[in-house]
Amino acid sequence: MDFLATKLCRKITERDVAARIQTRRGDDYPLKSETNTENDNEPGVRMTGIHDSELEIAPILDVGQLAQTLDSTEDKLHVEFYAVFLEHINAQMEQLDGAHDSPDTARAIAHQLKSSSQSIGTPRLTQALLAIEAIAISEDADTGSLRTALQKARDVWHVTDTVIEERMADLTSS
Amino acid sequence: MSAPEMKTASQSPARRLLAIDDDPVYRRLYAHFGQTLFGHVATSESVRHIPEDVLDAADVVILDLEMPNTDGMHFLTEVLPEKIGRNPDLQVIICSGLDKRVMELARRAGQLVGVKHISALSKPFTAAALRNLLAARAQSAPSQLPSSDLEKATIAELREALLNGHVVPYWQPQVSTDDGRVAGLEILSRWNHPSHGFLLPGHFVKAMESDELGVQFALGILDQALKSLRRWEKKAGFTGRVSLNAPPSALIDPTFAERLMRVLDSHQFPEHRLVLEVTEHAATTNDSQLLAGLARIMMHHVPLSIDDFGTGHSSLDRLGTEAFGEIKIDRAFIAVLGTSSTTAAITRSIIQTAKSEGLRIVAEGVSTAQAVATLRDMGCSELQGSYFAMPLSEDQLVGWFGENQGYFPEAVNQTENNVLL
Repeated sequence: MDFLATKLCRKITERDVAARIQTRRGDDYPLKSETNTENDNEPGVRMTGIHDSELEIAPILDVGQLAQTLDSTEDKLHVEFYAVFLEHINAQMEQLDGAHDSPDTARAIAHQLKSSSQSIGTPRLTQALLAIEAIAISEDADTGSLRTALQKARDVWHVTDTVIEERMADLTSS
Repeated sequence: MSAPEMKTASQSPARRLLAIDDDPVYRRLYAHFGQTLFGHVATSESVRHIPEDVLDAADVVILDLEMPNTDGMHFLTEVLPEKIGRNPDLQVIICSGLDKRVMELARRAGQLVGVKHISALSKPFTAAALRNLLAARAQSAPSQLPSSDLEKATIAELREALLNGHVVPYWQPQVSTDDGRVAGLEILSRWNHPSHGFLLPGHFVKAMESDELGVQFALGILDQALKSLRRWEKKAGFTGRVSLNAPPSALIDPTFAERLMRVLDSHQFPEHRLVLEVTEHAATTNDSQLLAGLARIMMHHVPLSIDDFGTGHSSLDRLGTEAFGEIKIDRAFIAVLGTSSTTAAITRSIIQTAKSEGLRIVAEGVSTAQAVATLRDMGCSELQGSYFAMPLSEDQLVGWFGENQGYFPEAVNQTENNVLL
């Protein structure tokens, strides 16, 4: 597990310096600095109930979660579930992008994706989806804040997609 | 919308699971866990376009309530009740990420329209919670026959099957948390049907418990079970109890107790090794005939057990004054033990109260190591369920005893028994 974690850490940090990953060694086992230098100068996106800081420090991929969901550490099975998840989310994210002027639609899609995101173990994406849900149901929701939250989710998804692809490659080659 | 995918496994070919969820990750999860417990697993992304034969064949339906362009509530309250008419034993599991209060309302709405066996599981759930629930449903789900064949399962047919030895005893072990050994075996029944193979009691329960056949069936299956027991008990080293289900139709028969004793005498089987399980409803009745029947059995020193405890209206504070020496906690409690803190608290309370009254507590539907550990630590006396063994035929039971010597150290309650400390 340590070997895998180290290998995965290296690949993740090539793309995202803030990445942290959880392993079965313990909660929120840090593999990299918590400082997100890329986003230090970006203005914060205000999202109801979810602070930027929470979103940034949430791990991108919690490899232990899928093992827990499946009650199995079988590589082939994990790869299969990651593949199903990627295909599903890729299709749904396109619909989510188009829902910036429809809070109800955005909420429904985010709600559904959140469940599978939790089960697969992508905590940062789960946080981004929670933020969309929170904005969509808030009374003072406006198109601008929803659009920002959707964009944030899209950004998180890009990183998540890459990390999962790498994880699948590792599992396939090991 | 795609047509349901069918996945088939060989373990239990008669039981069918249909999972309806628009999320492919969850559909794959249901298939993953379902295929080890059910013979057939079908999944569908929508309630629409499910072929009628697939729906008709399902024993258990997993239903997501919130799906785009489709109404899970409509399906639950309008479509399923029609199916219930053809298969009254259909079981439904609501799996959703909706607020638990919404799920509870949906569950109650389903019950109101006739879906008797309905439970709810919140997303995201743990593997153990899903497996527990599916295992409990897989165990209790009857195999499915076309409705035309179901209608033919009459009292006369069952009587003939019984007389010809086509109804055979199956056994499910009960493991003690005192020493990890098999303390008891529940006698179950299977109908070896010439056309349809082994049928679960769900197919013939009405005939089996009917006024005409209740006594004959209960005594017939007991007679066969005791014959079977004599063939293998020494080899297996089993000296524990056997439990028999006694329907109200048998209990109210004034000749039942005498005839029961004659069966025991004919096998020289001591009455204290038999436990008669009666449903919670029968146990709490005010029916004078039923009470008289229970009294007759007690006069012959045959121990009584309350089956499916928690599903009826028993009062915990009356347990000590009742005539029963054992309660069996219903599998519905055990299935959600790991996910519902309320259920866990109720189960703990039942166990503590029953123990303080000197009753033996048997948990049914124990299917995971987690459930074993939880119930053991709560002080439950005995555990029964697929974690240890599914219901087994005589040959399977003998093989099972050979494999594990009827000993499960993980079931032993260390806190109460480790005297070396």
